[in-house]
Parts: sequence; C-alpha cells; structure tokens
Amino acid sequence: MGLSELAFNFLTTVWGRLQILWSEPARQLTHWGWEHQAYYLLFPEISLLVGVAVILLVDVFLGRKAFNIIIWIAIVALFSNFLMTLHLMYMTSRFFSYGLGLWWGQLETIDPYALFFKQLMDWGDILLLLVLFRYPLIKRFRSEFIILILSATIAFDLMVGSSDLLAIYVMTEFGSIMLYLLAAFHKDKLKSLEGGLKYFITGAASSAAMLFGISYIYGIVGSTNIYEIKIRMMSIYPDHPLVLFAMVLIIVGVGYKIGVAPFHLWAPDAYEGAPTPATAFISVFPKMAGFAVLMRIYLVAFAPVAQVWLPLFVIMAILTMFVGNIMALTQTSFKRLMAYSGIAQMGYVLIGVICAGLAGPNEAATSNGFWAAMYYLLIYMFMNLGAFIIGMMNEVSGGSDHLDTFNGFHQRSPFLSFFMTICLLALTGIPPTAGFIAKFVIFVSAVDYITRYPAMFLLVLMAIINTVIAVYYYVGIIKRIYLLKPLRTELARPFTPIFFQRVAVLVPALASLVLGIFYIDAPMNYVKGAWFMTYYTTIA
Amino acid sequence: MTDVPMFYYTTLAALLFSIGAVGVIVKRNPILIFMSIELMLNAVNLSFITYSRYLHFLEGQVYAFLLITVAAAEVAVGLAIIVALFRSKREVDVDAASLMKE
Amino acid sequence: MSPADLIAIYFYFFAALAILGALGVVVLRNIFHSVLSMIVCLFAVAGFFVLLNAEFLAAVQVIIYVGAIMVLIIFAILLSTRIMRRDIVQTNAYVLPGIIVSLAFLVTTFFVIISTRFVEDYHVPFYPAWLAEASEKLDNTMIVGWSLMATYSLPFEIASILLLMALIGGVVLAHRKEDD
Repeated sequence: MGLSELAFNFLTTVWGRLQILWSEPARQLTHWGWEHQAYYLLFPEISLLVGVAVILLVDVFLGRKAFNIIIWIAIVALFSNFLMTLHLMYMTSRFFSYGLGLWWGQLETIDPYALFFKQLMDWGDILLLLVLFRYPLIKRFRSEFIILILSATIAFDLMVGSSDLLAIYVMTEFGSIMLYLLAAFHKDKLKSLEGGLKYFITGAASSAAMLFGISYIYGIVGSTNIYEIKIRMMSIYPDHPLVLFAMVLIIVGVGYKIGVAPFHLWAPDAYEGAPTPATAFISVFPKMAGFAVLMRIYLVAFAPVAQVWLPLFVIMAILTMFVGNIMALTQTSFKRLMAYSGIAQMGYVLIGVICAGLAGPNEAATSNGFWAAMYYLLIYMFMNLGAFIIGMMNEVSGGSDHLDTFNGFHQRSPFLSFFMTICLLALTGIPPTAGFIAKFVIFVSAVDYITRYPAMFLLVLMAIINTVIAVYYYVGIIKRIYLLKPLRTELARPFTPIFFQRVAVLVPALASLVLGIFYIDAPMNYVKGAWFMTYYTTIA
Repeated sequence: MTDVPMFYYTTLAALLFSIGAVGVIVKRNPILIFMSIELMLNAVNLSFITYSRYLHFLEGQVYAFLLITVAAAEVAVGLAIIVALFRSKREVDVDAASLMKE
Repeated sequence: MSPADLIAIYFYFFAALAILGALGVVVLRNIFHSVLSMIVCLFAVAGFFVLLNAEFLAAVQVIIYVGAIMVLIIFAILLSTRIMRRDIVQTNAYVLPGIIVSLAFLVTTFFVIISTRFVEDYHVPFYPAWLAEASEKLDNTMIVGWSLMATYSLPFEIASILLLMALIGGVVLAHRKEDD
C-alpha cells in the first residue's frame, strides 16, 4: 500500500461521504442510488479538467511568460490522471474482480480495457508536452494549445470508457472538435486553416452518417447500450438488412476518426498544415481512442453479426495498407509521409480486429487477435510518437519538414539520428525492435485462421507485401540521415536538444527497441489484463 | 398515437439526409457544405424523435437534445475556422509575402 | 374533421415545407436565399417535433437552431466578405455523382426500412408497462429534464465542457491579431 494509494483512498472516502450528503434529498425524490453519479470514478478526467482551469487562471494572471509553468501544470494534471487510473485499476483488481462496471446510467465503464488506453494516452501526452519546453512556435500558440491538448485527452479518456453509442458519439465529437481546432491552430498559415477546414468538413459529415446509423440501431434494438445491443443481436436480429446498413454507416464515422482507407482523405492535408506538435497528437491519440471505440462497438455489440461486417473490414484493411504505403512512396514532406504511413499502420491493427471478430462473440476479447491489436496500438504509440518528436526537432533545426532536411542529419545530431533510426526500423518491422514483434503477433493471430478461412491467407500475404513496400520509404529516411550530405552548410551545424527533449526522445525510442528484445511479456500481460471488456455480455 | 405511420417519418428523415448528402458532395462553398451537414443532423434528430415517439423509448428526446448541443459547438468551431480562413486569404491578397515569412 | 385527419394534414404540410426548404438549400444559387430556405426547413422539423409529442425539443430546435446557429451562419457570411462579392452566386461541382450517390443512398435506405421489422413488431417490452404509461401522461419537458439530470448527466456535463472549449478555441481562431 503506497503513499499515493493511502492518499487517494482517503480522498475518495471523503468524496464519497460528500456525495451522500449532497445527493440525499435527490435520492429521496427519485430513488436513484448515489452510485449512479459516482464522481469518484471520473477523478482521472476531473483532474485534467482542474488542470485546464488552473491553466486558464495562470494564463490570465501571469501571461505568456509563464509558458513553462503552464506546461508543468499540464504534466502534473496528466500525471495525477495516471495515478488515479492506477488507483482505479487497483480498486478494480482488489474489490471488484471484474472491474467497476457500468456507471453513469450505463454510459461509462471503468474496466481494465479503458484504463489501459487512458494510461497509454497519459504517457504519450506527457512525452509530447516535454518537447514543447523549447519549441519555438509555442510562444505564439499561447496556452490555449495546451488547453486544447488536455481537453482532447479528456475526451479520449471518456471515449475509451464509453459503453453507449450516445456517449461514444458525444465524446468522439468532443475529441474531434478539439482536433479540428488543433489542426487549424496555426492560423497565420493558409495550409493549416485549409487542412483544418477539410478535416472539419469530412469529420462532421462522417459523424452525421455515424449518427444516422446509431439512430437505426436505436430504432431496431431499442437501446444504445453496447452490451444490450449485443444481447439483442444474439437473440433476435442475426441477419437484418438494417443492421448491416447501420453498421456500414457507423464504420464511416469511426473510420474517419482512425483514418483508414477509404476514409483517409483528410489525413495528409490536415497533417501537413497542422503545427507539428498537433500533428504528432493527431497521428497517435485519436487513432488509439478510435480503435478502442471501434473494438468496443464491433467486438462486443456487433460481434454476434460478425459475418456481416468482417468482409467489409477485410476490404478496408487491404485498401488501407496499399493506399497508405503506395502513397507514402512519393511523398517529399515528412508530415505527409507520416500521414500515409500512419494510415498503412492502421491496416495491421485492422487485421488484429478481424481475427478477434473471427474468434466469435464470446471469445473475441480473449482471442489472440484482440491482444495483437492492443499490443500493436501500444507499440505504435511509442514508435510513431518517437519518430514524430524527432521529426519535430529536425523541423526546428532544419527549417522545414521537407525530407531533404534529413540529409546528413547525423552531422547535426548523432543522438537524434540514432534514435530516429530505431523508431523507423520499428515502424518498418525489422527484427530486433518491438515493431517486429507487434507485426509478428498480428501475423501469427491471422495464421491461426488460414485453414478455416482462405481469405485470411490473402490478407496475410497482402500484409507481408506491404511490409516490404514500407521498407522503401522508411529506410529511405535512414539513408538520407546517414549517407547523404546536408543540402546547405548551416544544416550541418550541431543541434543539441535540451534535457526534457532528450527524455521525450529516449523513452519512446527505447520502448520501441527494448519492448521487442527483453520485456515482451510485460506489455503483453498488461494488454491481456484488459480482456474484461465482454464481461457484461455474460452476466446480463 | 398519431395516425401517420412511422414509416413516413423514417422515409422523410432518409430523404432529408440524402438531400444534405447531395449538398455536402456538390457544394463548393464551405458555409453551404456546413449547412448541408446541419441538414443531415436534423434528419438524424427527426429519426431519433420518431423512434422515441413510436417505440415508446424515453431517451430519444435526450439524444436529440444532446445532438443539438454538440452541433452548436461544432458550428462555433467550424465558422471560426471558415472566418479565419477567409480573413487569411484576404490578407494573403494584400501581402503575398506573408506565406514566405513562416 | 377528426383530430387524426388534422394531424395527417399537418404532417403533409410540414413534410412539404421541410423537403422544399431542404431542396432550397441545395438548389438555390444565392447563399443568403439558401440560409432563409434552411430556416424554413428547420421550422418544419420543429413542427414535426410538436407532432411527435416532443414540445421541449421543438422549442430547443427553434431557439438553438433558428435563433442561434442560423444567425451565426449569417454572421459568418457577412464576416467573410469575399463570399459576398465573389461567390454570391454559387458554383457546384460533381453534380451528377452527388445526385447518384445520394439517390443510391435514399433508395437503399427506403428498401431497407421497408423490409425492417422494428421492435414494436416484436412486442418486446423494453420498459415496464407503468413507465411507458407514465411517459404518456408525464410532461414531456419533465421527462427530458429528469433524464438529463439523472441518467444522462454525464454527457450533459461533458457537453457543457465541450461548449466551453469550443468557445475558447473559436475565440483563438477568429481573433483578429496576435496581441504581442
């Protein structure tokens, strides 16, 4: 029992008592139990919200000189968010053997699955904020940039725990609106605003389509609760034309958020225009939260009708990998390249989701495919964030995000070059790195199904072909870093990142190396702890 | 209970949604695209309220209410982006070098 | 004339209004006329809400959509003066593909809905009978308020945070000059 646990137990006890006091009259009126509004379970998000409020105040009173203080406040808020998710995890494991279950009118769950994503996003956010300590443009971006990042994190935190299509919509839209603002944040740059506008229009239209699908589900099933939908799907609506239709519409909405083909068209422009820290944010967190939601919708609610959506997912996965990788071949901008490569990476995660879907409605969340997808997302966060952070520093020292600025990057900073190489090798999937293990696990989970479903053979073949294609452009950057000469002499001038930036580079790069060599079990067990997602389907 | 069949309402919602979709695909002005999206959201609202009325689910109205709220936030952000874009474009016309200064 | 006939007449009236308004948004060439026709459509949808026993939503629709959102859109049109000058007459692109896609969508939806048996056909009670009866008798506004404060308090509060953040972000983006 650590000090933090003691402190939080104390705090939560006090909070619970206050809750009872406050809700007593209301309880007599409505006979709702107070646990329906257990604010205590929202402490992770509330801590971020408090961080946002404090930043707003500090910004008013201290002005823009206090930018480092603002970043520190954000980091503290994120870290307390992390501690509280740890506490909730402790609570779920200790007192409630299957998690804290459905709360807030069954709109929100606190299960290891949600906590897994919440903790990952905390770490990713902290790493991203560390870079901003000395990021030249940040002074012009004002504290609102940090506020938007924090509030997007609130949205994603709530999104991964949502167990109701309505809550999923509200949280997704919250997060997306923050992302539109982040993408358009560089308002002096036309490209940023145009990218943001494109992102906004496609996103808003796609979420309207998703809502239309949700309304049909609501009309057919009579509920928008994920677990209730699953029960109804299992019993009465196995092959219903409107179910297929609604599922297609929901794929459109969620697909846009995670940027899989053919819903990826916003990605390159939004990535290129957005300020690079915002691009790094957009390239990782909405995809993770989006996949969390996608898996919760499709592996729980729609798992009984998997035969309907699986073909769509197979087509989407193949299309995503090919579009992403082939378009990435010809890019000259680092951010655009990462946009397309990020699209391609999501194709592999989709393979994991497909395998989990094949495992059947009750085994989906304990299947190899599910774990492989989660593991891939974990590793993807580290390797992509690492590559982006180093790309950000290259942009700062090199003047632009054109790939030519990587020429002779090792003369400028051998430190950054080395870790960039690791991240890129991990993204490619070269053996000693964690990226290889992640891809390997995905392929293994797919190979299990080859004998029963021949289409899976095609899928694995396509994935392997794409891995080979991806080598070209990832290794192309490494070639530029080590073999080519700098374009101009000032690009060879040494660049030393500050301590925090070194930390922000080291952690993801080492994670994407070391997690592949030594500690494969640790993240895998961490991921496997998150199996609980389908518990309610068995009791309800 | 009204005598108009539920089918009429759902078809009407689908029709409004399709008209909105035409607008999103066809229009070039961002504000008009945006209004078409609002049209789609209205169709969704109508759909939710219809189910809530005819199938006796109580929450449909709450859904529509939240949807309108979220749409309002979306409007605020979208129009801010559009206004900033047009302002920026005009300024680019005035001073073409402003893109180079970045 | 029985009340049912009256309701049917109102339905057809609002339906015609809504469809014409929606078509006006897409077809009219002048952007300001489009906005006005959108307002007509929104009013018609509010009329449907009244027909569907959702009076509170009808009021919300008129106040928020017509009163706030459309006014905001008109302001945006005024603020982006270039539109007024150059694009006062709209240009369209991809007219044929757009119409084909949407028609395909409409036809699919139509046939899917026709072949659908909604829950009422299954006679599966999702709520206890007393609740369904109570919901018929209770004030509509009360039901919505009750749900918002009890079951749906989380999205309700999140929506308020969302509005605050959208406000902050909108101000940052639309703010004229960096004041440094």
